[in-house]
Amino acid sequence: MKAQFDLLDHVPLGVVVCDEELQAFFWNTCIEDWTGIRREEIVGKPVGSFFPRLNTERYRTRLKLLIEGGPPVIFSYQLNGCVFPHRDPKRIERIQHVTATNFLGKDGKRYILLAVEDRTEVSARIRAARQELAKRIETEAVLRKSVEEKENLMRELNHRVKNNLNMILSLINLQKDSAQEGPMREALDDLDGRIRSFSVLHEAMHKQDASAMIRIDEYLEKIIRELFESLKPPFSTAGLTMDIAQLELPFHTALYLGLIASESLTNAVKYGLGSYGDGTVSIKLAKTPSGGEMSITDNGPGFPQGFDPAGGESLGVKLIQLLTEELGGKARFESAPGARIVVTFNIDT
Amino acid sequence: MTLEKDLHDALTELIGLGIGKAADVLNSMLDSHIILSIPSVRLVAADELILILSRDAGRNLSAVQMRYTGSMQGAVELIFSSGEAGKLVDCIIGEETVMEEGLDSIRAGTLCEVGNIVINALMGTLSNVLSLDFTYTVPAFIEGDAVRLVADVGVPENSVVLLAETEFLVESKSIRGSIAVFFSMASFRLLEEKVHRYSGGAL
Repeated sequence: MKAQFDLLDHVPLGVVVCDEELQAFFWNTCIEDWTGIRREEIVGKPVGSFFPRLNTERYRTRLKLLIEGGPPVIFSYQLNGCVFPHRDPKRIERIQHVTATNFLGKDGKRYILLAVEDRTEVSARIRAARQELAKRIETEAVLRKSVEEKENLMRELNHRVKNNLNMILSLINLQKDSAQEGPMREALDDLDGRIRSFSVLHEAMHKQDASAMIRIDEYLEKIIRELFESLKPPFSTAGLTMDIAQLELPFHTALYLGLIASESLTNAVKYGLGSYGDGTVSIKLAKTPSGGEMSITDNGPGFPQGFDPAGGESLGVKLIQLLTEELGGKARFESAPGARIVVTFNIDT
Repeated sequence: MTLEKDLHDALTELIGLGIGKAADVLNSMLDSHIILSIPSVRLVAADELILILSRDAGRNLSAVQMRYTGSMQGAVELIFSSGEAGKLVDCIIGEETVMEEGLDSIRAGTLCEVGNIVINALMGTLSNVLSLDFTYTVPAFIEGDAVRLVADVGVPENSVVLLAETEFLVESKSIRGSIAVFFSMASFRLLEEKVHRYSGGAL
């Protein structure tokens, strides 16, 4: 009868056949390899004498039911460990999954067939995947915490910057109230405009992700309108037109364009609205093949005769030139017929 | 589809006996103590089982299936939602895994053994008490939705399912599952007859 099991020497499973007394009847080559126990050594002997755990109550009870013709029995690795370990304890423990079934032999006796699957390799892959997953979850938690901390810090910082800018603006306004009309008052107006443009940009940044691009149309329209309302004379009928392209620009480009627009607008309101303050200031910003161009035009008398942007003492003109250079562009000061300041800029800067 | 009261009571008693034996086996094997209970037993059609499982256990189900032939023909499935199946394995082996859904092959092997013990104890009780002879296939782990789990049984039309809600209490955690015993109508008629005989004898 043993010959009928020879085929089982060629399957990639450990196969053990036991009789009713749990004595080894067949021991295939695969299980020989996994346990280091040769067929000649074990056949005819109780399997429990080689693997004592099979003599314990929990195994005997379940295997006894099989001998009585009961249903198949599973011995999984997590609940049983390695049922058929290698005789050399230094060998790596294999992850085994054992299924025991019974069958009636030609001799009328009932036999138990134990099929042993080696799941070591798949288990190693699962363990590696689990470790990787656990590592990723841990890293993600650390990153999330760090981002949270950064966001909290940024919120706190933004709050403080906003308060400080507002405080500076209040101080300037207090100072303006006590200053007489004249150069001091004008200097404070200029300063007020410059800080206001910082404040608006800061608010725009605060509302968005700090690393996000700034919508230049939204930003410029806000600072220009606020500044225009604060600079124009009381009861003035002066007009303001804006045609700003919807562009998203980096933070520092937006900041520099905002400062240039503030300086130009301050100049236009001071000198370009005419004696009744009833002129019009136009601001345009458009994309050009080489970058962008912004112009601030009024319909006043234009720049004074002999006006030299390079040689003048005006801080505003110097600022406009300096900031335009920073943007990789050029500033032009034209009088045709009102004053017109045109700056080009590089969008990539 | 309902069970007449006597039949219901007798089947509840038999399933309770089987489940009690399963708990004994599990407790003799494990460090953690397991209490198994059967809150309800009812008879449903296969289509109805799909609706019940989809409603109560969701779309992702894990099951251990064993088919049987002999005095009667059919299949038994111990079914859990995949989340509950993972929770049961975790409780039994005292680990907490980071896998959210489904079981890997090692953990599926563990669930297979638990299902094997529960199904063997249940069917063993039915077979011993009602003098039925069964031959079983090897336990298989299957995953999918309720439609797949029922289709996989390959039950003929007019099949009925004896559905026992089960509750595993392990380490103060409650894990809900279902045992579904699929019968052909002819097999169920035989079961009815055997149970009536058993009840009559018992009374």
